Amino acid sequence: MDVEIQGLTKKYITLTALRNVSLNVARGESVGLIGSNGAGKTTLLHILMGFISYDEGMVKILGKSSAHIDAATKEKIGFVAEEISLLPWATLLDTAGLYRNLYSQWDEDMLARLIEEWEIVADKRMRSLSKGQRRLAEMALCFSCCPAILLLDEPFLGLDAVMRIKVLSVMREMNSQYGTTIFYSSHILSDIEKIANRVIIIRQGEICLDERISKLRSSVEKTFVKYYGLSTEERALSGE
Amino acid sequence: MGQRRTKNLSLSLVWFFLKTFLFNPLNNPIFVVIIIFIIFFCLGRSLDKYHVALILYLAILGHYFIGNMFKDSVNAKEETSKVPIMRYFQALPISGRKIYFSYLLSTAIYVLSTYVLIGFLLMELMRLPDLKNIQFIKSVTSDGDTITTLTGFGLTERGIPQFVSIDLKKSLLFDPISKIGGGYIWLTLCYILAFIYISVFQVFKQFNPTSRSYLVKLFHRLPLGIYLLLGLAFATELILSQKEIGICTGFVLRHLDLMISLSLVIIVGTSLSIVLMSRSILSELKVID
Repeated sequence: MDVEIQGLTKKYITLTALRNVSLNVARGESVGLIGSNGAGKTTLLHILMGFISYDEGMVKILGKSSAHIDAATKEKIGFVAEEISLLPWATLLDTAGLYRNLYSQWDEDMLARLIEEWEIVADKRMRSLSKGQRRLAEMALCFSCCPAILLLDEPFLGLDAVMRIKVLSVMREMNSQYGTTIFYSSHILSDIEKIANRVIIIRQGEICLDERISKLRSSVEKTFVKYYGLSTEERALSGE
Repeated sequence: MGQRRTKNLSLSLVWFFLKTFLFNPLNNPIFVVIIIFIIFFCLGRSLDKYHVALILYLAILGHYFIGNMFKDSVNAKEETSKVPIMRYFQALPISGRKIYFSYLLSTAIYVLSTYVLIGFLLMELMRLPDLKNIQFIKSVTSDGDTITTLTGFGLTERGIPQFVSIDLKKSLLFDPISKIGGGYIWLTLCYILAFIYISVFQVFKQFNPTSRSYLVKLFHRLPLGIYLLLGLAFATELILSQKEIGICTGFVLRHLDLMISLSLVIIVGTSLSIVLMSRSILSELKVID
C-alpha cells in the first residue's frame, strides 16, 4: 500500500478537521478526493506530507510514518500544493538545476517536453509569471522528478480548459505507463472522473463515500434504467 | 558514496542560494548598489554628492523590494504549512537542518565578501591625494582649542587638481587609525550599528507581531523617511540653483563622511536584514526534523 490511514483525527482549536478517517491507496491506483471548501482535503494531504501533526490514528506513506518521512522517501513523493509554493525569486530553470542534484530519478527529457507542450516560460522568475504559468511550472517540476506517488492538492486551480486536458493527459500517462500512484483533490467532478479509478468524497472531516468509478457508473446506469428506462446508448442519444 | 552525495546536496543548495538570490542583481538590489559603489570608486576614487544621493536612493529601493519579498512569509506565522516557502523546503528530499545550514553558509559567504569588498573600497577612499604646497595652519578657536588644518592643492589619482582642507583633529577619514586599515574598523562599526538597528526592530516586532503599532511602523520607516527628505532637498537644490551651494548640499559636502556612513549603514543593514528575515523563516526547519 502506498498510503495507509487508520482512524485519523485532526483537531484544530475550535474545529475537528478530520474525524476517524481510514483509507488505503494501493500502488498504481488513481484516487480522486472530492469535498466542499473546508471539508478537510488539504489537511489530509498536508498530514500525508508530514507538514502538520495529527491527534489520533496512524498515517503511513510509502510504508513510512508521515511524521518521520526520510529524504529517500521524500524523493519518491511528488507534491503540488493548492497555494503555489515555488521560490518566487528563482526561474524554472534555476529550480530544475537544483532538483537535478536532489532527485536521483530526475528526467530532463520529461521537463523539456512539458515546457514545450505546456508552453511554460522557463527563464523568468516565478514572481513575474501568471498564476496559471506558475501552476504549470510547479507541476512540470514535480512530474519530472518521476515520483512513485503524486499528491496533488487542487492541481487545476487557475488553469484554462485546454491546459487542464493537457495536464490530465500527462497524469493519465504517468499512471498507466509508469504505474505512478495518484492521489489528488479537486472540486471539479469531471476532472476526477477523467483519470481516477476510485473516488472518495469527504464531508466535514468524514469520508462519506469511497467507491470505484466503474461501480459508481454502473449504479448510476442502474438508476437511469430503473427510473427512466434508458440505457447508456439511449442516454447518449438523448444528450443526457 | 552516500556521504559524497550528501556533501554535493549541501553544496548545490549553497550554490543555488548564492546564484539565484544573494548574488543575483535581479533579486537582491543591494548587490546592484554594491556594484555601482565599485564603479564609482573605480572611475573617480571619490564620492561626490550626486554619487551619495544615488546610492541613498538605490538603498531605499533595495530596502523596499526586499521588504516586500518576504512580507507574506514573515506575516504567516501560525502554522509552518501555511508558509509557502517553508512548505517548499519541507517537501524537498533533504533534511531541514541541512537546508538551514546551507543557507547560513551561503549568507556567510555573501556577508563576508561584501564586507571585504566595501572595506577595500573604503581604504582606497581614505588614501590621501598627492598634495602640493602643503600648509599646516594652526588656529585657536574662541573656546581656546587649537585646530590644525592641512591645506593645499592636491592632485587626485586621475590628475584633477583639488583644493584640500582637512581638519586633522576632527576628520574621521584621515585619522591615524584610518590610515592603517581603518576602512575595516569603520565598516565594522557600520555593521554593528546595522545589527543593533535590526535587532531592536526584531524586538519591537516580537512584542507586536502584526506590526500595527505606530512605533514599529515609525522605526521601520525612519531610514526611508530620512532618505526621502534628503533626496527631496537634493532635488530641490538641483532644480533651483545650479551654481550656488544650498544648505542641504553644503551640509552633505561638509559631512560627506557622515553621509557615506549613513548610506553604508543602510546598505549593510538591508543586506543583513535579508539574512535575518529569511533566517527567521528557515530556522523553523531545524525544529521540524
